[in-house]
Amino acid sequence: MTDLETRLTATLTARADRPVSTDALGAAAVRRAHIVRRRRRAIGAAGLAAVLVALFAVVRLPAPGVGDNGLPVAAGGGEVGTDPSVVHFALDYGVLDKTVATEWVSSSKGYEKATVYDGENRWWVTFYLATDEAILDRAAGDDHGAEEPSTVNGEPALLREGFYDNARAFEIRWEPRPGVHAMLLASVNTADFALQVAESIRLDRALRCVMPLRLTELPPGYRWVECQTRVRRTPTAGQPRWIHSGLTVEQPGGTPVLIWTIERRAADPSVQAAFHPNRTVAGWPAEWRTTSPRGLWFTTFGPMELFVCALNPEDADALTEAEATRLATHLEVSRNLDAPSTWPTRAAG
Amino acid sequence: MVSVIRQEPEAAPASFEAYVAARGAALVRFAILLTGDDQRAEDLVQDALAKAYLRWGRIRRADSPDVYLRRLLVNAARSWWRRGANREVPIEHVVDRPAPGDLGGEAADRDQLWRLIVRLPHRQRAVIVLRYYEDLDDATIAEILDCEPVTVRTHAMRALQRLRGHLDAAGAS
Repeated sequence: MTDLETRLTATLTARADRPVSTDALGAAAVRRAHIVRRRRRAIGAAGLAAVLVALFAVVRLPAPGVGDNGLPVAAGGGEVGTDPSVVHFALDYGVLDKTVATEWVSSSKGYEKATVYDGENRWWVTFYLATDEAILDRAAGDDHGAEEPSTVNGEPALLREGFYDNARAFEIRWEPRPGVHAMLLASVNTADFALQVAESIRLDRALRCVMPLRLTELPPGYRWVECQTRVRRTPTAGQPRWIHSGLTVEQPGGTPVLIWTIERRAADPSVQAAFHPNRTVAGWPAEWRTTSPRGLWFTTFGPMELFVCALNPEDADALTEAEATRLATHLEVSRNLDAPSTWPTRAAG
Repeated sequence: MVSVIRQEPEAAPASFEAYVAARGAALVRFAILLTGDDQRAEDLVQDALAKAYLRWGRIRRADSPDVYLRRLLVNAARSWWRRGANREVPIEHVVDRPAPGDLGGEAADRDQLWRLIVRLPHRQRAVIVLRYYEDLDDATIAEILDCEPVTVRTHAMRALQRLRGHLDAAGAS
């Protein structure tokens, strides 16, 4: 063993060393297994009922198409990566027909992206648009094989295979128009399907990145830089189910601060056990956490859970309690979490 | 050097409960090294064990519950990372930082190396943990990661190169 390998063993051993109650672990696992089994039976029964209904009636779920991306259509205009409320592309769920959830990200930092997931995390596809190819290089990493020439809708493209975001995937790069770079990372089975997905992306449409939340007032010197929102598809076109959203603003010095919202889990005992409110902000019990992850946490903020923190852990100290409180105090929450058409068209300002 | 002795069970215990008693703690420690988060590690292991419980007969007959469960944990940890762990609302603290006053000598060295390990790509990190913590051979690691042994060696080589590079850079600065 080399010195480094010896140090690795020592480091890993020291980090993992902690007592574990196997009795509690086994009991919890068995409880969870019984819940899964009951749920499967319920789903099985529901599935049987659905089959019976389908046999006696024509049940037609609307086939999601290009126009049904779950987000409102934007009027268009603007340049890629300049407006944190707009993405300048749309996905075709006719090709990505196994998609269960989609995460959209728009920014004023020169990039936009969307990631689609299937129901069991077996595959994912991420599409990026950027004005600077270096942004795509950083996102793709360097763990890949040789590139091959290809085409996307007649445009020259490069195709390669490698490990991206820790999974084997195909990468396709092309320049759909001068100065705009596109990249598709797809953890799918074949390069042909990855190319099919790349060709299905509509660059002649723009969508609004919206969330059921609005920051009504930016503190002096702050600017809104990114919108992130994840929605789950439902059989009803245009009515996706909200999962979570992140609103990123930059402090005057450039430190990004994240306002993170997720569906409320107040009923989850493990969440409540971890939550130790030490103040009230905007009428809701809140915990200002001084240990990692540092930030202002609400298990209940209207219908959602909220966490305000510095985006990067190394900047944790850059966000003061007063600033986090000020941001939370100026948040407005939408009543209907599952109706993006009713959400504010701009999440900040 | 710290010597690490890990006994692989000769054969899978007949009952699920006996297996958890024998191997549950090791699985949690393995998951801690994959996720860097004690709370999530326990959660992932509970989830993996629940899945195993539902098909225990088949897994035990195949005589490979350790491989099966480690594979579940590697994949579950990967899925968790991909969702953007640092953007999730906390339910408990993330223990990736040294306690104040614990920065002398070996502890500081381990802390520095651990910070580099957590920044490795997921598969490289999994290989490092399986090789240097679990003390498994490349063939077994390949079975867990569902890849060829040569891929395991490539991941290990890249991970070690990356760690050496960072340590050299830190030493130089």
